[in-house]
Amino acid sequence: MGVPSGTAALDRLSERVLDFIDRHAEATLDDGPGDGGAEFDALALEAFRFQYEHSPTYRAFCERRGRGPDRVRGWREIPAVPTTAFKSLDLACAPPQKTFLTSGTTQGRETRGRHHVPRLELYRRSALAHFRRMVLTDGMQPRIVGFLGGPEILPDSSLVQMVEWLRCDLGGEPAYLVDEDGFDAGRAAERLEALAGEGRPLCLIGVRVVFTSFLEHCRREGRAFSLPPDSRVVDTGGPKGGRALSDAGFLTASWHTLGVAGYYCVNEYGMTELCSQYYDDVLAERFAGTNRKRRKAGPAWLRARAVDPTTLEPVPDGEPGILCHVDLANALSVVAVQTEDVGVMEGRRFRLLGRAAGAEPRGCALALADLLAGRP
Amino acid sequence: MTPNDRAEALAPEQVADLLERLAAARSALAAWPLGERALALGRVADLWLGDEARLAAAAEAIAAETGYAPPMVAELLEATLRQWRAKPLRELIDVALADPHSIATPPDLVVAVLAQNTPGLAIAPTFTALALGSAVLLKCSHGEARFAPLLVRSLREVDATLGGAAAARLWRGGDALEAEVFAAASRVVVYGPDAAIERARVRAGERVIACGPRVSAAVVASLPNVDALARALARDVAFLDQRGCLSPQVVLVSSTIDCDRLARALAEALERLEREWPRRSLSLVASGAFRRAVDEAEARVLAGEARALHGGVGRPWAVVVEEQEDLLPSPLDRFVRLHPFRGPDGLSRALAPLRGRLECIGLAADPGERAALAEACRAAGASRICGIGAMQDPPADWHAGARRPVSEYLSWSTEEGARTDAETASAKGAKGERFLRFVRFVAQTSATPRGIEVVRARGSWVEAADGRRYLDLLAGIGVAAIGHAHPRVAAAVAAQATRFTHVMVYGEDVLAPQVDLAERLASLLPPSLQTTYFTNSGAEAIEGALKLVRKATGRARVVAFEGAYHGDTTGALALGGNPFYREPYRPLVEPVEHLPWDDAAALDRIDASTAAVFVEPVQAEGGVRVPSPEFLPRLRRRCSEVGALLVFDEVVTGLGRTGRWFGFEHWPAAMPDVLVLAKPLGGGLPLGAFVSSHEILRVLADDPPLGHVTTFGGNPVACAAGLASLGVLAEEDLPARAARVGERFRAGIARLAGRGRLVAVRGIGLLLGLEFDEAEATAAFVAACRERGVLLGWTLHHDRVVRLAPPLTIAEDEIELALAVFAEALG
Repeated sequence: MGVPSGTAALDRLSERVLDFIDRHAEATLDDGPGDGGAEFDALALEAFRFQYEHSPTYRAFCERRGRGPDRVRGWREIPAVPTTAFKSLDLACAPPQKTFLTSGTTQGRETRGRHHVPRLELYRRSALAHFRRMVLTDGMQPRIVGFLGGPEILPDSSLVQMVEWLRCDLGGEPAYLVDEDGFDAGRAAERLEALAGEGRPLCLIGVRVVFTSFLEHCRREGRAFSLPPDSRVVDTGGPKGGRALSDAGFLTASWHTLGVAGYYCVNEYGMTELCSQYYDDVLAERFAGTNRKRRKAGPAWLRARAVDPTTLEPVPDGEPGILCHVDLANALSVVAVQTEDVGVMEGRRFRLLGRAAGAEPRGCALALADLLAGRP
Repeated sequence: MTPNDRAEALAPEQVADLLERLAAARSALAAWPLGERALALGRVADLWLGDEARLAAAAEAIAAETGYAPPMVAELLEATLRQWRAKPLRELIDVALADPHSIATPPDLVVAVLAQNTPGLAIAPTFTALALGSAVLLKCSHGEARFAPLLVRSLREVDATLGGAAAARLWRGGDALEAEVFAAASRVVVYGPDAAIERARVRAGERVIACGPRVSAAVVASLPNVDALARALARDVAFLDQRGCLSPQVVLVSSTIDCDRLARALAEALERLEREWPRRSLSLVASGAFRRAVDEAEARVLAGEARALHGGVGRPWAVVVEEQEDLLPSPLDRFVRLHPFRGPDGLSRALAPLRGRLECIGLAADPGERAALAEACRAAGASRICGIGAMQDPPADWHAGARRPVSEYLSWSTEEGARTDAETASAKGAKGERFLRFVRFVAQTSATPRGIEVVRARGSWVEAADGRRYLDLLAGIGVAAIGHAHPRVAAAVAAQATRFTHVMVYGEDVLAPQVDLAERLASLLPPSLQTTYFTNSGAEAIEGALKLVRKATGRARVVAFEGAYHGDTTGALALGGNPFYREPYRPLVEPVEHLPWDDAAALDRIDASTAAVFVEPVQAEGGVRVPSPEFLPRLRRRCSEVGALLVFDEVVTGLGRTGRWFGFEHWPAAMPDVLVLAKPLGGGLPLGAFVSSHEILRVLADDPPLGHVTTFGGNPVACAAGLASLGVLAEEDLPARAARVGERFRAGIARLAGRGRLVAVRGIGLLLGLEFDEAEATAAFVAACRERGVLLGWTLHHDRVVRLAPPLTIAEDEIELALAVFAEALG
């Protein structure tokens, strides 16, 4: 994987990205002066060319799509690799320092995507910088409490890795509330009670499914908490399957059970295939003195666009399309990624939509997909 | 109402009134005979099929709601409606009713839940219900609610009662009003996903007929013409964007086939088809699912896990060539995987996951492999196996993965205990108990036998068990020339039967009736036709003549004519002029060449290799076709030139039918070398003959001797009957009468030309053909005449001609009666 003589180029690229991250950690979240757009474009193209040269698999993918460096003029045109391809293909430009695996199974088959990350520092720097910007906007240093398993249980999880970095950065003993036996809401409640009693603001971070289980348990038990002031909650999608509260339900339950107000509940949108993340802009907006509807906002080194699923052409702002991301922190793996998520762009920010209900002609065919899914 | 109007919403307070109105119309409709309902519904189908603008408007309306390409929708509507015309509809219902064990009770009200938007979905349940005399309430899909109201409207246009027994409405599933509607229904037919079926079952239990979602596949085990197959397969895949249960979602390709080549050809065909049938624009969900499948396939190709991906990226179709045999999931909307399989066992394994949900297999296989592969498909539960390219053209009642859902509309019961035959027959209605035993114990020749239970026949009349009397203009297809049950024939039969019946096989003993009949025939025939070889039927006589001409000339090649009918035994069938009847029974006797009928120029193909030419002087089954005056004489000359024998098949035309004793008398310059007779020859008993000169027939007597024998040919009882019949024909000069009366009959019918689609009448003597301008009209006319007590029939080889061949003794007033009935039936 990769070419040894590329190491110098790899290091150079890595340094340039890290430098960009450092300089733009507080840049505007929208298009405009100071957004680093031109530099982003140039770096993205450089990363694309690097990957094209050093990843035979990626080059083969680009050639299939008829898009080589000679035909790509800007970051929007970089051929985006579908997340599903990470299950079949090894895409990296150099030997990885770490390989993260996606969670979950697909229709009965254990097929997990693989993201090979040659330089972890890109991930760490990006994750910490944007987390501080969007979640610790007020400069607080809360204690991290993980509503998910820790590194011993989920060593391949990129989310767990990120949370662990955050914990170390902010200080505090590990506090992961999912253990080898799974998640016990009662035990978690006791632990949370104890942590809250220490007086330091807490940042509860975890997957929505686990939060849901906890919040519903507390509701049934009539249990509520008074977390220290400035505590906040960060939830993310996580593995599919299991009951999850809706966005509105989650905010309501967080307020009633945890005493955390809605603007301190920040949803994170990330994936194993990307080193960078988006966050709800609610807290950033509040501290900026504005109060607009929640949207996802990414750092200057992470840009999204929405495309038509059939043609892969961009759709205008305000119209739904599937989201493609260009992430400079992925400069050494896959800089452009196409997801299966549907969103609506509003400038650089976007709203995520659930599975859109479409007017679907319902014929008499039983889709093979559904039929085989029913098989044990 | 315009094509833009959707079905009305049904409000709870309207339900009772609607049900009452439907019930009232249903009562009136149920009083009609089945035949009349079928005819009326046939007129509805014809209304659509005869009106391009109506079909196009409906197709546009459906396309607007579903997104399917209008030409595709129009094609589907037209193909569906063709299946529901009067004749196929009547056959469908008759087959459904023919259960020998039980009594069928039709439903009062059928509620059809159309929770899918397959174009034209409303047609099958509507026509079925109304044909059975049931009212029908169509619950439209919210996704397509325009066609059903248009269909109901067309019913009203044809007949107010028919239309009054049908309604199309919209309501939300699970609403309280649905309980009231379902409670009133005798049957609830549900076309929709499992959830809709389950919901209906909760309310209507076993009254539900479930037409749930199914899966179909194509199997390719032979590839003689890859482009043609790919084109056919592409149409099956692209139809309704694979959202119909008949489209193959997966193609299983034998490992002996070049799968890559097939895939490339299929890809090209799908791309070309985009211009004619563009895929509808997909919703975000559907296009996301399609995108996901394409991306995954692409990645697997790059990883070497799949062989190839054609299309998909930026194209509204995708073909994936898989390495693995196990099936992989795929979305609809023109995404198809090609999986390999090895042999019938491999096919079984591949199809195993589809068991219980498999609808149709489109199969392309060589004859040697076909049986085993088809068996594997059946074992996997396929209810229909057909050719690739034919998957979208199923029989009429095909929307439930089963052959006869029409019978599911009916309630069946036995009735045990003491009951007389008459009571049982009466309970079964028009078709008596004996008919059911007839269907069960007597081998059938078609799905729709005439079914009259004959108790008596006399003269021109047939009397049925239900008391109805029919004027018989068919005479058993020209057999009862002197009328049914002639007393002289009956007496002759009785007398002979008391003397002796069969003593020895033909040709050994001297049997008076046989000798007398042969001599009597000779007295009517020219010097070259003095010797008769008796058989039991016309087909047997043809078989004998075929052997005779080959032996007599030393040549093997025989010539016959298109449109000819000489019987159904193997040799006679080979001579028959309609490939439709020959094909299923090949190989037949060869070599036989068929020339165009009444085409003098084609006669040059009769050459020195020809043993004989077989011809009917007037083609009867071919549509009562009288040749132009010069044709038969030229044929005679040609045969003489090359030394071929001329064989006239006068099974129908012989013995007075045409107005002379024999057909050849109309063409004196066309004397045959061999004359074949049957039908009226035995006076109603089985008797045939081939007649020629002593010299020619002698060849059958030796080299080898007994080279052509028959056990029953020339049976004395049959010959006695034939002799009596010939006596009546001569004494009453029936051939001349046939000419006179036939002319009068023909003139009377000719005056009706132009009515009810009757175009022309033709014929000779009392062999008449009524030509209609379309096949459905002939069926309708025959049915209408039968309803009014007149029997006639159409010809085997010409579906637009009704043939008359009444007894030559038919009375003048009987002809007047027939003409009056014709006038009524033609409208």
